[in-house]
Amino acid sequence: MSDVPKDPCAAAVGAGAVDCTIVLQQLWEYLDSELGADGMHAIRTHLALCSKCYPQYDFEKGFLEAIADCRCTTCAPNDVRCHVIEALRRAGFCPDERAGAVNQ
Amino acid sequence: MALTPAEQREYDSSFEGEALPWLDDVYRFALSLTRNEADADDIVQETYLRAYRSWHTFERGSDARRWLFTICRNAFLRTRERARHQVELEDGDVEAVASQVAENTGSASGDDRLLTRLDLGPALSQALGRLAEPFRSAVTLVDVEDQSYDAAAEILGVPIGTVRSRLFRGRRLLQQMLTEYARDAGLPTPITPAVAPGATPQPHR
Repeated sequence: MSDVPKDPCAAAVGAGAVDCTIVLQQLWEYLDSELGADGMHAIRTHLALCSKCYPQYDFEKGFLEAIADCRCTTCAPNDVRCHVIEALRRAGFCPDERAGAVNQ
Repeated sequence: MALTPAEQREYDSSFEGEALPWLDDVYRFALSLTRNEADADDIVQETYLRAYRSWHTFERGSDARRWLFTICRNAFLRTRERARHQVELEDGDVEAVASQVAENTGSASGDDRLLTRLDLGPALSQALGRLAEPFRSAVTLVDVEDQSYDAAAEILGVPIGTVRSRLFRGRRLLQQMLTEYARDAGLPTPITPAVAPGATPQPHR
């Protein structure tokens, strides 16, 4: 992407392509990989050429990655794990003590 | 029909191998529903008990985590029903709440440059905890637990379009909360982009 067009949309909108408004509207679905193959391709192509949309894409991508990071910071406390195993044992569950899954 | 000892061992072993490894995920989802650690603890126990008793109905090879999330949500709803608290908003109410939030906070479209200045981690965890239902469960399932829109729709028992709508509004609300957090931290007012992801385009004035 060495030549950034003066009009950021000009190079990005071609035959069969999408404009900036559509790209920005569908940005989250694109980032979630929830568009069809044609839609994914059209937006990917646009983002590669459009200096206006790319920063927005970059920001939203970072935002979603930051939310996903919450996954790493919240785990079940040991108490919860113990309560679950105790409840299951009362219901007849016999864990394989050698496997160690219940103690993780 | 009672299981033989060998069948029981196989039953327990497969449950231990396929269901228990998702305990952290189920806990996070339960916590997102209850916003209370003690309640989440109860919901997770209830979820695993129900899952264990129904393990024979689980289709081997299918997604155990999705199955557990569905049980978890149902356990949560049953708990709420027992407590006679109606927490699930009708979609019409959801639209009204979201519109009101957008009205109160001005344009829902931006503050993006401000957000890039933040260390998002702690602020985001806090904002996610404050996010109202039903937005929070949609964001948690798709963004934290990496479920597809289709899977989230199945877990939440709503159409896929409703998941999309709740998810996008939830993300916008999160961004607004983070913007408020940044302003409180004394960061300068950002420039607002013209169109927000997932937004309906506004006519030029």
